[in-house]
Amino acid sequence: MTKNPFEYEAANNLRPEDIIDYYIEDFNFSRFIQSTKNIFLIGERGSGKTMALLYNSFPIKYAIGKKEGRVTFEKIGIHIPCNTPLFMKKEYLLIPDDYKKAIICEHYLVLSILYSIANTLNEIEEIVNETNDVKEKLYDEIEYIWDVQLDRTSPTFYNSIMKFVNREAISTQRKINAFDSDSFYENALSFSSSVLPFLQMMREINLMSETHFLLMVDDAHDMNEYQIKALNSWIAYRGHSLFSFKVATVKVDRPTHITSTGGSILEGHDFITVDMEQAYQNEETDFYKLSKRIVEKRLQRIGVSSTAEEFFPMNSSMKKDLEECREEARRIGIEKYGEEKKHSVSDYVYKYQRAIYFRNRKDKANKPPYSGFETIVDISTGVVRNLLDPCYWMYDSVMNTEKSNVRFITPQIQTNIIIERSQRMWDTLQSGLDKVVNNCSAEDAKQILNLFKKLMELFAKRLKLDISEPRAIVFSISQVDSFPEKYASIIHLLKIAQRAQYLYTRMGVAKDKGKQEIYYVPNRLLFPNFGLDPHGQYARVSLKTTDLYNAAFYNSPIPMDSFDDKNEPQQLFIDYGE
Amino acid sequence: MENNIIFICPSWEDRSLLGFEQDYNDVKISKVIAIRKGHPINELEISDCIDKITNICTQQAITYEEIIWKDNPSKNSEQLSSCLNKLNTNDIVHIDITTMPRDIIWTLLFFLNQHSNHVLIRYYKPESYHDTWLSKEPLSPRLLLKHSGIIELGKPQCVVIITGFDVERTRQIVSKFEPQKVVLCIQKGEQFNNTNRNISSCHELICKNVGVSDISFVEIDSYGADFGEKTIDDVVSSLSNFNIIISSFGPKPSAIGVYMAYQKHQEVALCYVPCKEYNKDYCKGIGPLYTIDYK
Repeated sequence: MTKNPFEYEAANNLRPEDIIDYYIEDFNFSRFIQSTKNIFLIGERGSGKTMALLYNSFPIKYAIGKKEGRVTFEKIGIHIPCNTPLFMKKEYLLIPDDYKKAIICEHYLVLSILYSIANTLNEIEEIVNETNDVKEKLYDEIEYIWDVQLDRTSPTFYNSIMKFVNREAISTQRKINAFDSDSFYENALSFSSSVLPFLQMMREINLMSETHFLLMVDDAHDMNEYQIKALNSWIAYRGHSLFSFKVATVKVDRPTHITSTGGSILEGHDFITVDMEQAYQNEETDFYKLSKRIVEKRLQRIGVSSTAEEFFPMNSSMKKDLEECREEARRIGIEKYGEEKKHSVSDYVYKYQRAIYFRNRKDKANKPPYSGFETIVDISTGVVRNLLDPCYWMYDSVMNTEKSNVRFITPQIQTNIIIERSQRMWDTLQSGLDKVVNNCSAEDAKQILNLFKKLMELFAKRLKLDISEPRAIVFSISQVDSFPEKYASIIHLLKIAQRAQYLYTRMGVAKDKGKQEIYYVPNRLLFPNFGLDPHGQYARVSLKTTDLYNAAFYNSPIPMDSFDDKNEPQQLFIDYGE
Repeated sequence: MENNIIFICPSWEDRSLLGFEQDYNDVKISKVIAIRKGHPINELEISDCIDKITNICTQQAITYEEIIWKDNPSKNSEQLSSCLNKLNTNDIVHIDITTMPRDIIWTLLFFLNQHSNHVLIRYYKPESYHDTWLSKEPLSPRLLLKHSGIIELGKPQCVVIITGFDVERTRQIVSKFEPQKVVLCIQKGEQFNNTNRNISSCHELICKNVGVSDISFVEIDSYGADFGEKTIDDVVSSLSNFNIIISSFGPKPSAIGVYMAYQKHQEVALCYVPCKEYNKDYCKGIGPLYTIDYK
C-alpha cells in the first residue's frame, strides 16, 4: 500500500533529498533570502519558514546546482536552528549580574552559530578538499585568534571546529549545572571574537574568497531577551559584504528590535520584513499556484499524474448550481448596468455568484458539499500546513478502503473531512482555548468563543443580504484611538487566537491616505461548520472596536452597520502584498 | 538523635490532609516543612488544609515551618538551602509527593542529594480522578534549572514522555521541542479507567500531527517498586545518539522514577509544564500508600 503522500513531517526531520523533492520554490521568498540584506521572515507555525530556510541552505543549493551544472559559492546559506534545548536553558536567571547574563546567553548562541557554519561547510566535498590544502595555516590562525588548542587529528578541519565547539558547549553546561556553581562560565565566546574572524578566515579559501554568508537563524522567538538583543546588535552591524542575517520568527509575540546597547534596529534601514503568510483569493493568485504545485509534486511521487483539480474534484451538483448562479448573477448584472458595461457586469458576477448560491440554499438544507481543490486551498487560509492537513485525512480515509492505489478523492469524502475538521476546531474553541494555549485564561477562552461566534453570525447575515460586499470575511478594526482600553482588550484576545491559529493577520492598505493597516483573517476552516462560504472575496469589513468588545465580553451581536462613520462601509479594495 | 522531618505541599485535595494524618500516624515526625506556592490555585481550600495541619502540629508538639515557593528560582534555591542547612545529615527526611508539583519534587531532591543521607518518598493514590478536565491554562514547557541536561550540538532530539490522561500536555511538549523522535511511556493497568483515558494511539496521533513520525512505545509501571526507574533507565540508555528531554505527566511516582534514572544520566534534560488552573474536583478521597527509599 502506498504511503500517504500528504503525510506531514516537520521540516527539520526531512532528508535533504525530501526537501528538494517536496519544496516548491517561491521566488518571492528566495530572492529575499538569497539577498545580502538582513531579513526577518515572519509567519505562524506551518507557514513554511523552516522549509524556506532549509531549501536555501547551502547543502541543498549545492545539490541542486550540481544537478543543474551550475554550482556557485557566491552565497552560502547556514541554517541555525534555535528550537534546541540549548536555547531553553534558564540557568542564566541565577546570575545576579545582568552583564554576565548577557555574556552566557550570547555564548550559547555563538556556539550554535559556529557549529552550524562548520557543519554546513563540512558537508561540501569541494570546500573540504580545498580547505585541506591550507588547513595547517588555518589551524595556526584560528588557534591564535581563539587562543585554543584544536584537535588536528580530526578527519577534516571543520570536524575539529565542531569538536571544539561541542567541547565548549559541554564544559559550559557541566559547569553551569553543577550544584555549587554560580552559573557563569569564564571562557564564554562572543560573536565578534569568534564568528567574525572565522568567517573572515573562510574567505582565505579560494572557493569562498567572494562568498557572502547567509546566517539563517530559525525560530528566533525561542531565544531569550539577551540573545535577541545580541542578534539585533549584529543586525545593526554596518558591513554587509561578509554576512547577513535571515531571521525566521512567529508573528505574534515577535522578538523586539532593541539592541544590547539599548538602541534599536530600524525597518527599511537595518532590515526588511517578509511575511510568509500568503493571501489567496482565486486560482490566479500566487498561493493557489503554489498549492497546486505542492500537491501535484506529492502526487507525482506516488505515481499519480492527475492535476490537483482532478484529484480533488468538486461535487458535480455544486458545480452545476454555481454555474446556474453565475448565469443568474450575470443576468442581474446586465439588468443593472447594461450589457455594454462588461467590467461592471463581470465584477457583479464575481461578487454575487457564490453569494446567490449560498443564499438560495434552504435554511434546513444540509451543509454545502464543500469540495474541490479550490475549496481546499480556501480553507488553508494561505498556510501550507493547513493545506496538507485535510488532504492527509482525505487520503487516509480512502487508503483504508481502496485495494489499489488511490486515483482521486471523491467529493463526498472531501466534504465529510472538511466538515469534520471544521467541527473539531469549534469543539476545541467550545471546550476552551485555555486548555490548549499558553497564557490564555478561562475568561479569555470564553470571550474568544463569543467573538468568533458573533463574527460567524455577522458573516452569515452579510452573505444573505443584498449589500455591496456580501462575501467579505476579512476585517480590520476601527476606533483604535477613540477606545484604547477596549482596543487593547480585543487585541489581547486576537493574539491568543493567532497563537492558536484561529486567526491570521495580513497588512493591507487603509482607507485613510493610503496608510497600512492590519487585516484580520479568521481561519477559513471555521466557516464550513456554519455552512458559510470559505472562499471570501477581495474585500474586508471595518468593524468598530466597541462592537467587537461587546461581542466578546457581553456576547452581543455585531451590528450590520458596524463601521466607522468617518469611513465608507464595505470598502472594496485589497492588497495582500502582491 | 535522628529526627524525622517531612516535606509536604498542602493542597485542596482530600488526600493532602488525609495523607498527612496518616503520615504522622506512621512516622514519629519532629518537624513539618510545608512548601506553599506564593500565589496558589484554589488558595482558600489550601489555607484551610494548612490550618488543620498546623493545628495537628501544635497538638502533637511538631515544629511547623513554611517555605513560600515563588516564581524566582534564585530565591527558592536560597530558601531551600537555608532550610536544609538547619537539618542534620542523619535526619531522616520524608517527602510526601502526593500533591507536590514535579518541579518542586525534583528541586527538593537536588538539594537533598547534597544535604541528607536518608530520604524516603511517600505517595497516596486518590480514590478517583475527575472524569473530564484536570488542568487548564498551561504555561510553556520549561527545562528545570540545573537539570537542563548536557546538550550536544548536532545530535537529534528525542522527547521521552511518561504520558498521563491529558493528551494536550503531550502536544505541548512535542510542539515546543519538535523532536526527531518521541518515546511514549504508557502506564500499565486498569486503575482510574487508565486504558480509556491514557490511550497510546491518541498520544501517537498528537505526535504525528506535529510532524514526528519516529514514535515508539514502552510500557511503564509507575506504581511498581522502583516507581518506573528501571524502565526509564533502559529507555534513556537506548538513546545515546540523541539529546534527550524527559517529562513526567503520568502518575506522580513516575517523577521519582525519572529523577532516580536522572542520577545515572545527567546529560538528560528534565522538563515540566506548569499550569495556572487545576480542577477543584481534580480527585477524590485517598487510596493506598506507596513508598520508596530514595536514598
